[in-house]
Amino acid sequence: MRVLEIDNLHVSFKTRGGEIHAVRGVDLHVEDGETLAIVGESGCGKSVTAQSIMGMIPKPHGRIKGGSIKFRDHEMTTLSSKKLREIRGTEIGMIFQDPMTSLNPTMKIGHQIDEIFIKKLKLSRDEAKKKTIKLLQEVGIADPTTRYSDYSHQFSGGMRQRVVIAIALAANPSLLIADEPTTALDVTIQAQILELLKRIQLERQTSIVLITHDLGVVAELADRVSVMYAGIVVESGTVHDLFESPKHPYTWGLLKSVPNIHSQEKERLMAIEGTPPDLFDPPMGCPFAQRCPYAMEVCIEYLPEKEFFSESHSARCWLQDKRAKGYSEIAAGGERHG
Amino acid sequence: MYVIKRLITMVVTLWIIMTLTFVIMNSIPGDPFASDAKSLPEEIVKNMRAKYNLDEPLPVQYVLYMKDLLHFDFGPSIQSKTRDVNTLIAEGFLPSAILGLQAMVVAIILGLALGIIAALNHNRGLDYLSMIVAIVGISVPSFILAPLLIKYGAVEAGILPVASWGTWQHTILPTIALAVGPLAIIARFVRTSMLEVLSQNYMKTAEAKGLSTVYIVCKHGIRNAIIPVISFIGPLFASIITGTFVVEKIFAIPGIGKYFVDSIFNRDYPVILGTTIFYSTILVLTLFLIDLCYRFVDPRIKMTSGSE
Repeated sequence: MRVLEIDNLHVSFKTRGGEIHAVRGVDLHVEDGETLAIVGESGCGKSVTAQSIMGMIPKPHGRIKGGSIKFRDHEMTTLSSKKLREIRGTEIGMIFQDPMTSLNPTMKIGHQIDEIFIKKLKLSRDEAKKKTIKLLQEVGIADPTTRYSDYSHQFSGGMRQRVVIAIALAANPSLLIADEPTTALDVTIQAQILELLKRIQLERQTSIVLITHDLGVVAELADRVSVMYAGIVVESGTVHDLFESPKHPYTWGLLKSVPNIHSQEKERLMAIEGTPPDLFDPPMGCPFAQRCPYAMEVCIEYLPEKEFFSESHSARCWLQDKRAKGYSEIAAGGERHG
Repeated sequence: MYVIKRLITMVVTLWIIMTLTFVIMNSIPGDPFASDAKSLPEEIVKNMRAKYNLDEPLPVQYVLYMKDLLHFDFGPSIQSKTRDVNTLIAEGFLPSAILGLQAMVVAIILGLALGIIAALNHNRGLDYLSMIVAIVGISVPSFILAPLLIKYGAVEAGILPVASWGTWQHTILPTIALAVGPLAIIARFVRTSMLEVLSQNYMKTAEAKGLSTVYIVCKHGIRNAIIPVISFIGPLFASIITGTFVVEKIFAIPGIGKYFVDSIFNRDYPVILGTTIFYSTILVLTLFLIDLCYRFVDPRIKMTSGSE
C-alpha cells in the first residue's frame, strides 16, 4: 500500500521581487516501509516538498498552488489546520537538519519528548516519562533516566540528533520525513545516525522520506530515489536504476561529482558548470538545458514528458525521446567513456 | 562562592558611588543655609554649621560621614528638623515601593501580552495597533498622562479618588500613570525578541509535533523570548520602586520621589547622600537578583566567579 502519493504539486512563495515557483509539478510516492530519497542541490525545492507534506509551508508567503498530497486516506492539501495538526507528530514525524538549533535550549530534553505523549496521546505524566526514557534508550542515549532532565547544551551534536529522532518517533508515526538528517554532523557521527535510522526502519517498518544532497547517504539508506532540479523531478527510480543506468544528464553530473574512493588512477572530480535557473521566472523548457552539455533546441522550448524505462525507472529528458535516438546514444556513450 | 564574590563587589561599588556623590555634591556652589543666610545672624549660621559638622574640612566630614554610614546611620536632615534621613526614607519608601511594585506587575504582564500579540501578527493590523499603543505610551510624559487620568478617571467618572494616599483605590490611578512607560518599553522589546524566537528551528520542531499554536508560544516561546527582556527589567524596576518625582507630586503621594529632587535644591547634604546610596543599593541588589534569576530562566548560564 502507498503511504504517500504526491501528484503534480505546485508550491510558490510571494516575495517583494515577485513570485518564486519553488515546486513546479512534483510527482512522487512512498510505499509502506520503504525509504524514498529526494536528491538535489540547494534551492531545488526538496525541502519545500517536505514542508508541504507536513502542511508547514511558511505562511503567509508560501502557498500550495495546485496538485495533491495523499497521505493514507487524507488529502493533505485540503485538510483543515486542526486536522493537519492531529496528523503532525502522531502519524508523520519530522527530523530536521540542524540538531544544534532544533531543540529548545530552555526546556529539559525529557519534556520536549514527553509533551507529545501528554498533549497528543493523552497519557499521564508518569506514563509519559516512562515511555520517554524507554525511547531515549532506544535511540542510543546512555543513562536515559539522568539525561531526561538535562538540557540540550549538555548534549553533543550527534546525541542531539538522536533526541530529535526520538521526538519524531515518539508517537510511532507511519511516515518519517528526514530533512538532511546528517548534513550538519561529523562523518563518523553521520554513519552512526544512518545506522540508527536503518535499525528503526527495520524494527518499526516506518516509511521514510529522506531529503539529502549526499549520494553516499542515498546509497546507504534509500530504496528508491527521486532527483529534483529547479522544482521538478527530473529522474526517479530504484537506487540500482539510478546508480547503474542513470538516464538524465543532471544525474550523470551528480554521479560524476562524487569522489570515487576505489579508483586507482588519479581522476578529476567533475563539477556541473553554471548555476540553476532563476525560479522567479522559470524557463519554459527543460530547466537543466542551460547547463546541459547535450542540450538540443527542443530542450530550451519544451519541457519533456516523463519517459519510462521500466516500471520503477523514469526520467524527463528529450535525449530519451524516440525521435532523439541516435543522438542519445552518442551522448550516453560519451558520458560513459568521458 | 559566586554569591560572596558578588556581595563584596557590591559593597565596593556602593562605596565608590558614595564617594563620588560626596565629591560632586560638595563641588556644587551654595550650601544648606545659603537661602536663609541674609535673615539669620552670623552667629546662628556658624552654630548651625558646627552642628552638622559643616565647619570641618571636607576630608574630616567624609570620614565622619563614613563612620555613621558603617552603623547604617544616614545622619540628620538639615531641612526637616524632626526626622532624620533614615526615618524619611523608611516612611517614604513604603508608598513608593507599593506603587512601584504594582506598576511593574501591570507593566510586565500587559507588556508581555502586547509584545507577543504584536509578534504573532507580524506586519498585520494587530501588530501595528499594539506598536502604536506602545509608541504613544513611551512618548506621552507622565505629567500629561497623570492629569488626564485624574480628569477622566476621578473627576468625571467619580469612582476613584483624585489624589492622596490611603486605601487601595488611591493607588490605582498613580499605578496606571507609572506603568504606562515601562509597559510600552517592555512591549517593544518583547515583540522584537519574540519575532526572533518565532523564526528559530526549535519552534518548527514544536510545530512538527502537532502542538497548538497557543501551547507552542506559551511553552516554548515565552521563556526564550523573555531572556533578553529580563536584563533591562532590573534597572527599570529599581528606578520605579524608589519613587518618581512627577507622579508622586501630582497625586500627592508621601513617597520618597520628591527627596531626590528637593534635597539637591536645598543642598540638604545628608538627604542627597542618603537617597543616592539607598537608590544605588536597591539598583545593585536588583541587578544581583536579576543575575540569579537568569540561572533559572536560562539553563545555559552557570554561576561561576569567572576565574574558576
